[in-house]
Amino acid sequence: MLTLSACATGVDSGGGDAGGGGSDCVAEGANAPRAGGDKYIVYMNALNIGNAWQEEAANLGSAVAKMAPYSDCVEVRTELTDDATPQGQISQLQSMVAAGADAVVMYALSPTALNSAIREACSQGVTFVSYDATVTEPCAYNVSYITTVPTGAEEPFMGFNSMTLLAELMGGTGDIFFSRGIVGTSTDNVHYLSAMAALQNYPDMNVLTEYEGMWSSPVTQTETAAALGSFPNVDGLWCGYGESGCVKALEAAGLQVPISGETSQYFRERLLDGWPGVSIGSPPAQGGIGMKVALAVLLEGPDGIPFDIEVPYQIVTAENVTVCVDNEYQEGCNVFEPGTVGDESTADIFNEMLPEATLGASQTGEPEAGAEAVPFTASYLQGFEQDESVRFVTREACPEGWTQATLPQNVEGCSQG
Amino acid sequence: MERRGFVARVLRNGTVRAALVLAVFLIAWSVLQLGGLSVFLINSWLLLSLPLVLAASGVTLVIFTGEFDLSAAGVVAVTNVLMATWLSELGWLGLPLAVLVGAVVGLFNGFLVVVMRLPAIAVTLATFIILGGLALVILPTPGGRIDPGIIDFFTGQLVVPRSIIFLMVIALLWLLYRNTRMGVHAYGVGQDAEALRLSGVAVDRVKFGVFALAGTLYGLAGAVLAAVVQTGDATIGSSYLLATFAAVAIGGAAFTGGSGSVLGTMLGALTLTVIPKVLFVLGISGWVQRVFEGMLIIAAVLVGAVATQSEQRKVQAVKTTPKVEAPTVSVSGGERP
Repeated sequence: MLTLSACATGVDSGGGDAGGGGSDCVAEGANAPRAGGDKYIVYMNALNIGNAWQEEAANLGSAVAKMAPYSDCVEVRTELTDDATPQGQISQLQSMVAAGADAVVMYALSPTALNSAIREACSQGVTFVSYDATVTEPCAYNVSYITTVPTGAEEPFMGFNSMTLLAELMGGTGDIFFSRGIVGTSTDNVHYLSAMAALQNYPDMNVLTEYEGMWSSPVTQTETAAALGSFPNVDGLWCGYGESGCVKALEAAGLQVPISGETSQYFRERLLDGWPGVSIGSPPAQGGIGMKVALAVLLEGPDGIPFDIEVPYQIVTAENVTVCVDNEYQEGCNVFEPGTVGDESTADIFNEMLPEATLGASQTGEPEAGAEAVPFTASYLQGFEQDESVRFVTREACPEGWTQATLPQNVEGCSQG
Repeated sequence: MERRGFVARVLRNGTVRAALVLAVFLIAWSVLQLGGLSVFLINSWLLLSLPLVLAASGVTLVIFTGEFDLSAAGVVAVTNVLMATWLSELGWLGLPLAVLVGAVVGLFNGFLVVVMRLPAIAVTLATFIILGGLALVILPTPGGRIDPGIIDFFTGQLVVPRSIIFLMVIALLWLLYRNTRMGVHAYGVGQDAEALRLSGVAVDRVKFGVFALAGTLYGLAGAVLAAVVQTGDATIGSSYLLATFAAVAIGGAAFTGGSGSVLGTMLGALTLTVIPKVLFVLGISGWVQRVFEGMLIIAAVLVGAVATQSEQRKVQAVKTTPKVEAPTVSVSGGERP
């Protein structure tokens, strides 16, 4: 357990280097920076796959670590994974550890393939946080929305809620397209299975065709346009990330049918125009939240900090879509001012766990002048601890006293007794 | 002039070129790495390289014959997920069975290319797509379990890290293979299949055997990959589709067939996996890495081509100069077997 009061409390954090002994928030001895400098080295990782979400998540993580009170305690290094394969990411993680990383905040490509490299990192005293995508290695912290019950909903899982809301928009009847993400990833599988479970509740609905949108707007648009060529009378679309491609394909075909999509600015602007739809998906704020969890563990010590943290996220429809005035965070706002940001940007950079987020920080990775972060405490994070019943989804194991069971959302989870 | 001729002769050898490139990167890595290179770092690098070394070696064998094989990534995906699922309960038996699956795919490719006379690119591309889909059916999401004995066999230590031993074994097997009848004939098929056929060599049988051997190596690559990452993942093989050919290019083999060395390809594969390490310590990430890899491939091919043309011009000049005895120089455009 460290005694890092300056950083941990955010009080009097401007101490800086204390005459060769390092910053007053940096420990000595066993908990000193691994590379031997006067700051902890923290790596912020995202995938470099031409995806706005990844860029925003990485930028938010970097920006938060550069804010006071953290900036005196840590040096953040942003590393993008260009070789978007588990092997490439293993190699990169090993390089980070060898370079003296004290913490790594990573978008893990595989829930299992990185485990041995993560284990090795943990054994060398490195704090590992996986955001959005989760890993099964027990020493890693998972910070993800994947099992969260969205704000205002009663059931967990994005897929389940989005399909239910789409069905309600369609009056419980009609034919839909299903645009998946990257088939073979655990995230896509949870979305898919839970969405299909929701569909079971609407026997008058039918999936006309499924295709792989690859979580890419252009791919989704191309595939949707092709599907429309075969099924021009579709009644609704369920679209994963890249849903702006679904909207654009429908617009090109002169159709306006209900869409369930993720969080892009383009889609939410259409909701502002009155397009029937539901916008719900992975918030890029998770990058910044993951960084704050890593810094809490690093600077405050791990005591009391849950390993499984659920990130809250919201459901946006034509009824509650609300502009963020001046593109700044206001409670309940969920779309930037129309025409001020790119189609793939998302106001879900804002999150109740990340009040430090700004549009500028998400675009540049730099905080606003004088911006201060609000560090997490263990008790605050305990309020976001994952429910045991969904633990199997992210850890492929159940807590003690729980056994594996299929949840009503058709996803493997845990039950007691 | 003498020195230029020597340099051109050295650079004309793809394996030497690949060794030089790898040496440069290794020196840069060892100098720039914080705290120097540890045994752990070197072993980790070699282990992660081993599946690519195996898969790219298989691709090289096919390329020697003048054919193409795009199925490596598909076989790696299928054998990887098989190792994590159906074969995981069989213990050690899982390993040869995974390799056998690769061999069967190779035979299937060989049958369609050699017997049915279908174009190799189309056939092996189709095989890649089919196997990629099959892998997803077998294991829809990453996971499964790899036999601990197999993990330890590939990742453990035996005086020196086993990764080093495996690389040496592959190199040794290559040196033996290239002097076998099949090895020599495989080169010949790539250089002039018709001439070889007229001299009585069963060209089709050679090609068939090479496809099967390549499939075997892909199967082994998938099994090794499963042991290294200790999990199954149906999408994990896709990166080998292009990386295997990049390794071949850096290794100096001629894509037209009949020239090159598996040793060069092995060095090319090691170079591809060390580049990210070097760029990391240089603080370079992102798209620059891919740009760098692409430029390296072009440079490797370009240097080889320039060195070869320089040698050819020299031979031409000697031939057209009267009363001078022509030297016995191979002008086949690349490395001799």
